[in-house]
Amino acid sequence: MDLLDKDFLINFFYLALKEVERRKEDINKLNVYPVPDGDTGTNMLMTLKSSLEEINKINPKNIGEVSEAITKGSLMGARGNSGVIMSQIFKGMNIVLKDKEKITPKELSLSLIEGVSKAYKAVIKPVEGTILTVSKSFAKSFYEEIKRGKSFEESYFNALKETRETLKKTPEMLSILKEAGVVDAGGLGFLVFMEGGFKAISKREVEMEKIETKEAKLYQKLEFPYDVVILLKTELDEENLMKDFNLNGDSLIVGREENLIKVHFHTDNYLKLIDYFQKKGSLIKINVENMQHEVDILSSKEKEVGFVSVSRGEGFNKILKDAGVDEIVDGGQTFNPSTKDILDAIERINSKNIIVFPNNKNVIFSALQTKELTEKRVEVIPTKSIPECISSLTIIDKNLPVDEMIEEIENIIKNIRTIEVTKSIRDTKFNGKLIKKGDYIAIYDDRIYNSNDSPEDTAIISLKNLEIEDGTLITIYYGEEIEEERAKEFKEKIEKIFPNCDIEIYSGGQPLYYYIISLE
Amino acid sequence: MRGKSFIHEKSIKDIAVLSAMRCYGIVGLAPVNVVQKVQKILGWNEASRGVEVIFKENKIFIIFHVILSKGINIKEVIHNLIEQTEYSFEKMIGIKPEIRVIVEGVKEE
Repeated sequence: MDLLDKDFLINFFYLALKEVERRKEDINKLNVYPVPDGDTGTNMLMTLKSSLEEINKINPKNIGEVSEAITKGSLMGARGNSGVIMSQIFKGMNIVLKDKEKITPKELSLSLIEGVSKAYKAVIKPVEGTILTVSKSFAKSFYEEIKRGKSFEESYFNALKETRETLKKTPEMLSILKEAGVVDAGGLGFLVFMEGGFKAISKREVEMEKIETKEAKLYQKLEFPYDVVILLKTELDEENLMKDFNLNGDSLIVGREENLIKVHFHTDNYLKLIDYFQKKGSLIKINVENMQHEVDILSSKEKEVGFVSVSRGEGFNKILKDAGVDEIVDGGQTFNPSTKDILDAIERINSKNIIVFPNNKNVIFSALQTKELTEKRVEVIPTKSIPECISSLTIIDKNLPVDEMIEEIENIIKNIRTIEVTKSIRDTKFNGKLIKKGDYIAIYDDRIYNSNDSPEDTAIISLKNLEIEDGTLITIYYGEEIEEERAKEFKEKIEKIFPNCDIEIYSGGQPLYYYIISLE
Repeated sequence: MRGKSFIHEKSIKDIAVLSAMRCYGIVGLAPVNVVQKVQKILGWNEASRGVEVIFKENKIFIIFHVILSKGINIKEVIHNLIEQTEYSFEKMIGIKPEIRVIVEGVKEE
């Protein structure tokens, strides 16, 4: 195995920098943490360029001097968080590389381990799901591959692969990323840097990642919500006091004044914390505050338009939430929500414009009454069924101004037909037709179909009586009394009858109605 | 917007502290002096965590007393801290505070 000399490292660094330069905008676009100002790629590049300038300035004689130049340049020219972190990685690597003429790939991998460990030490609470995590993943897997006896090229290539996987997992580690639907920008920057460097090692092509970007939504979930301060009287010194302290948390500060010790800590379990210190001395004062509460209040951002929907059934509630409904009011046929219920939901939403979907004709009036009772602008869309609300919210562009949005929704609703399948609770006459108690009935607009066979057959009778064009989307929401298997069989039946339609099936979980079927 | 909202000084301090905790390069917050700190424990809402909040002429001033990691670009870390803190405040309460950072020391890990 050839040793790696100064020319290798210069070439590596140059190619890595070029790759970051080429993909700078991709990296910028992802930037949501800690500040979504879209400059991660730019900052990283500036930092690397400062290192390159330093290399050019000193004309290094060996690999150690190249490393010194990179370290010095990145320290002086560090820009942004990712730049500062890169400078710390280089600084750690330099501990291994300085004074060396040439190095083995193993020494390179060791220097990376050193670099990452250095980088982790320069922050109170290292945040996972960032460039720190991604660089650690590379260093670790590169080192392990080398140790297993793989070639330099192979090890590096495999480490890149592993790092790409880690990068993909960053949204699971840092919720801000997940909410914004992106991977970490600094992490991608590091990966791109290493991918560029690979060109100095091998002619092999590196797989490029396509990463979608979305606008960042912000909500902070604190990992350690309780801010605890304990004042303790003890003869122990700090070291003995904290000797077997191993609770999860951050921001530990211990202060002492003679035999009084003040401990400050953020934790997810303050009882354990108090328990720990209780054994170490006599507690004088304890103060626990839930920071999440304040963060929640402060960070809830005002929305342009808020949506309230009346719904019954777990399945429906979930589908509605996914479609973008902010508040759900429990209610439906035979259980109409009051004006106050709807009003409360309206007031809970942090938005001045509210659109209400009553989803039942008996609820429309209560919904309209809320208009007089709130400062907010309330618009009621006279939806008669939940699928109308689901389809509207799934289709419309939620960035439209309110008036345009309402117009859009009304257009969408015109094209949706809903059939509700239930059981008659008494003998009745409907449009001259006699319906017996216990009959299954399918209601569509002002038409009603009945049969005493089964809810499925009744639904099919009603469907056959409607004009259904080819290409219609038929969505079946099955109720709480229907089992999934049975609903699936029903779906297959319908597929046979309407082979040119798209059929979808969801659990609506609604009571009373066996099936709610929408056609659009 | 109608009506008034009030933001407690403690909330302001919490946001500031969170910003500092997560700022890369900062390894600690330093109390101005220990004696004061112990006395202040009794009033936890007072400045006690290395962050001072001052209201003056309709502005919020935040003063951080920080300890940095040794061998780091101090200027850039301070810049990042200011940027991140301003962002948190603008996002959460729509106010841009005046931020001062006092480096109380550097620490080798």
